[in-house]
Amino acid sequence: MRESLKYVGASVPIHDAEQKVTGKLRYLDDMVLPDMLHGKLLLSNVAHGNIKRIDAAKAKALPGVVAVFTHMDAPVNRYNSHKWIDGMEVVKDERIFTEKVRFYGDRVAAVVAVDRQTAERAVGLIEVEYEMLPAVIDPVEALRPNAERIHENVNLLYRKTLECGNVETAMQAACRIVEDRVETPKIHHAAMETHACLADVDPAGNLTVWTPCQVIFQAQLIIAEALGIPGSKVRVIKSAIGGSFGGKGQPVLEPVCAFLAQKLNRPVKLVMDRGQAIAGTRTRTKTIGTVRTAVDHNGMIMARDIDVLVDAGGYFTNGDAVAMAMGKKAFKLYRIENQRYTAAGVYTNTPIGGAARGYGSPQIHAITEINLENTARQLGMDPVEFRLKNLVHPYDKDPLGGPELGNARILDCVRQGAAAFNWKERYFRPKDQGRYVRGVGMACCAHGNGYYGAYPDFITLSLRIAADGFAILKGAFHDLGCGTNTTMMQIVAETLDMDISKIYVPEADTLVSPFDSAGTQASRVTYVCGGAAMQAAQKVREKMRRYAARYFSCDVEAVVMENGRVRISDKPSATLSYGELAAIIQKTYSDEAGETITYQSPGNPTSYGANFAEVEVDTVTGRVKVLELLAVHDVGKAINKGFVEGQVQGAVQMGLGMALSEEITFDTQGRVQTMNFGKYHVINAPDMPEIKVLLVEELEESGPYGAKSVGEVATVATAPAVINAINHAVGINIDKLPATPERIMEKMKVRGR
Amino acid sequence: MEQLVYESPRSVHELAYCLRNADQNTYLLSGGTDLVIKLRKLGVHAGRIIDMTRLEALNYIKIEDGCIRIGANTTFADISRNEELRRYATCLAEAAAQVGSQQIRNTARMAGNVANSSPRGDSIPALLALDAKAGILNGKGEITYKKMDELVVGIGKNTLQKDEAIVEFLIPCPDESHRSTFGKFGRESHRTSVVISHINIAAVIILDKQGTLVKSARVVIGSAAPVPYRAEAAEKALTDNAAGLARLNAFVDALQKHVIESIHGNKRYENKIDGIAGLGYSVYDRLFTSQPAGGAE
Repeated sequence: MRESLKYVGASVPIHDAEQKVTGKLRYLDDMVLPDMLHGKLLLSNVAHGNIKRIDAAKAKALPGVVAVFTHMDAPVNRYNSHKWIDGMEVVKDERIFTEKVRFYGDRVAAVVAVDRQTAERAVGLIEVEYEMLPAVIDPVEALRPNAERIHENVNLLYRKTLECGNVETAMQAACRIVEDRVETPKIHHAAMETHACLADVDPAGNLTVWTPCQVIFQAQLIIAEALGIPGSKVRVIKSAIGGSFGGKGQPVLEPVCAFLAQKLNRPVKLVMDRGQAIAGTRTRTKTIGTVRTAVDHNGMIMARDIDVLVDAGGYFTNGDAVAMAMGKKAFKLYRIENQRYTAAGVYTNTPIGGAARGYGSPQIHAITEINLENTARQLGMDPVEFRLKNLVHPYDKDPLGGPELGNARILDCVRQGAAAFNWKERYFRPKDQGRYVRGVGMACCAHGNGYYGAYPDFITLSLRIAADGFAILKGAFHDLGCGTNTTMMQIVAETLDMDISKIYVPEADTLVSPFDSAGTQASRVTYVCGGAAMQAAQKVREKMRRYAARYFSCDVEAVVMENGRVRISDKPSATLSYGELAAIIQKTYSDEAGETITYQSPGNPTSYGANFAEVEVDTVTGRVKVLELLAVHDVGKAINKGFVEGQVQGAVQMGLGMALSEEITFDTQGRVQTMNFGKYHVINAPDMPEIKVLLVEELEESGPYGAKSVGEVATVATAPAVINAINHAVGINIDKLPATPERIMEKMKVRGR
Repeated sequence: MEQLVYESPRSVHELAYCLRNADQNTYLLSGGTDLVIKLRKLGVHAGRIIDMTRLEALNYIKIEDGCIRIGANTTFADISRNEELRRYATCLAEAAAQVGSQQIRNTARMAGNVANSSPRGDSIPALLALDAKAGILNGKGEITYKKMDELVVGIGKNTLQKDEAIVEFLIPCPDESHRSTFGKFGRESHRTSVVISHINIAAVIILDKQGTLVKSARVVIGSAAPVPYRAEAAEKALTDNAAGLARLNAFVDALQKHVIESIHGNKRYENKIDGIAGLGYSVYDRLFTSQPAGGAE
């Protein structure tokens, strides 16, 4: 490796920036196929009920309507959209259209018409008669033995425990135990682009599906399972995407749209409106967590007991996976010898839980980091000092025997962050006396780098240099707006030492992309796919050097590859461009200047971060203004500094929403009350605080150029840091997120200010 | 075949002509930021739309004969930026600046906001506090004037006839001793912009020559009852009372009592009581100090 890096570490703009800002990029909804029809879904407007009768006569009679489909026409095959690779054991409880609606937003029917307006109007003409069932909204209620059953079995999905050491014994020896119960809400991902899909059928009956998705092979698998056809008959192409954040991870529209196209033998486009995306896709899983933390006199954590109730919503999807992901993170942040994590999952008549940026990490860390700050306060300790005593050190072992933590640099994050934020002075300064009171809070977090240790984690890549000097890297890459493709370009450009503008990384297509085991999820892309890209580039480089040595009749060691050219160190005349060498390799040696590799992830180190927040609370109304936020992240090495900072800025925006305003709410019948952005409040630009980003780049040996993930972990510490700052400001203990003005006032009135 | 007919009069005369045949399926479009959504929601696919936004003659803000006149085709963006309004009708300019988003303000007209008669409309309390009148044109070409409380009478209800359209607003031009301000909070959120009022307030005071005593006050609370109303007890608390903490507390207490009465014990609206207090303190600050205190509002 060269000493100085040319492309890695630079802020290279995202590859399609110009297309995006000029409006040229074609998103799914911009796509038009000849003879294309438009679908519109009818989602249930009740939370729980059996469909007694569906009368679509009026809808069918509307001129322009081609067909109406309901559960009576749809395949009965059940599937679980969470499954992304064959062999995963899952509970299959979802259908294309349901005969029993299990939440406000469940799929009842679809209209297909010649244009979207007609389809929308026709949906309003479908009459559905329900046999109403009691709606179970509260996950605690859902657990009661006499609770209304949402599926055939009881509402309890599972109960699992992870444990190290002996919690009971350690608790008895502790000098103090601090207990908190924290509730986190269902959250909508709020990607700018709502869910959309386009499907077509060829004369041989093969389906082609375009979708802004995260995992093409998962979409292929789920379509195949739902329709009962071989996956190889389904081609899935990832389209441009207007944001996902996990929301487009599980296929929602893909099987439906494929079904409509298959039935009608014509291309069909299906697009959701905002209300449908909020209620009818996936949400961040709601959790209710109880934590008990036992400490000694010196502020060392002796034991911790965490109990979490996970609200999966109307269908199972990843209800167990997200609970396990949460649990594992709890063991990777602090040195806690005796710890127990118990999770129970439950069905409720609410929108389905799924992947959402952080995959349970924001929930578990909200629960535990609020509790830890309270523990520090009860001990009369500076929360930073308290954490520094207990945080993991580099190369600590996972106490559960899971993947090693790697070069875990959370201590550096906290130390550097506290200094940069001027933490001590701000934490201990006298409280403001007027109406507006400031406070500070901080929180730490941990997240993974892929699936190693839990699920298959490998990717096959094909990298070839063509005679024109361009390098094409084929792999199932899904750029979600985070810069996946550009990141790969940077790694390839760095490793091959060639012009980055001559590197092409196409998007994923099941027909032409080599197989990838898991897609763009689980914070695996930079670490796993980037590692693969680096290895592929190294192999191509070595191959080209070997052929150059043969061609120039010299030692391989004498072949230098730099700046897009090959030269022989002691022969100034012997020089070729990469393209020229590629042509020679093809013509003279009947080989290509390329390699196809399958790369198995070498590990699953942990990415860490810490957020420091200052807030100002209006003690008259409970309204909060976030004044400043510092995000410090242990990223190993930033492949692209601009992307990393962008990820952090956006992630903080989501974390602030979780802390202050984002929540899908229900009325007593379980009807969603937040069906648009007028009622569902994301943090908008004028209310964003100044965000400072500080990166700790201490290199993770197993990652490409030392890199590890940041996209998900960056949203994790924000909500607890802000909640802790509010608690610090006005001396309350927020136990339910988001901390709306009303909830803050309630707590302040109880406290009697 | 159902049809949605679109008309865009270019003069007041043409507008009157269009109004002549208005029926229950005629809609006045005054920016459309509420109307278009409403039509889509209700599935209206037939009828007649009279677009007021091409009426260049009604796009003005001017001071004439001791009156501020604002044409019906003036956007909130223009109202919020107008220097004279900012000085003489501060509460209206401030209300206009807080309607929806910049995109909404670039399109929405105040006439539409008033005619929509939503209890959450931001301009209505400001206009009521300023004792404004609306000029109303009918199909015969006649213009009559109505005060805000004669015009807006219920949730989404006004006294406009089908063949009537608001063509302008008249605001009595106050003297220099006059000050006014507006404040609002959205529902259940810390948001400071792009919010729909959950509670709002507009206040106008006229000070004595020394600039210390309030000679008269008009305080309007919006978004607490079906229509914005004068908070008379709060007005009384301000009037003829010496400056100081006692006046401030009496003012805020009065505002809270008004709101408590308005919400009839409805739990869902209880947070309006804290909200009006917060607004009350801020409004008071802005009315009586040249340098308003900071804060999250």
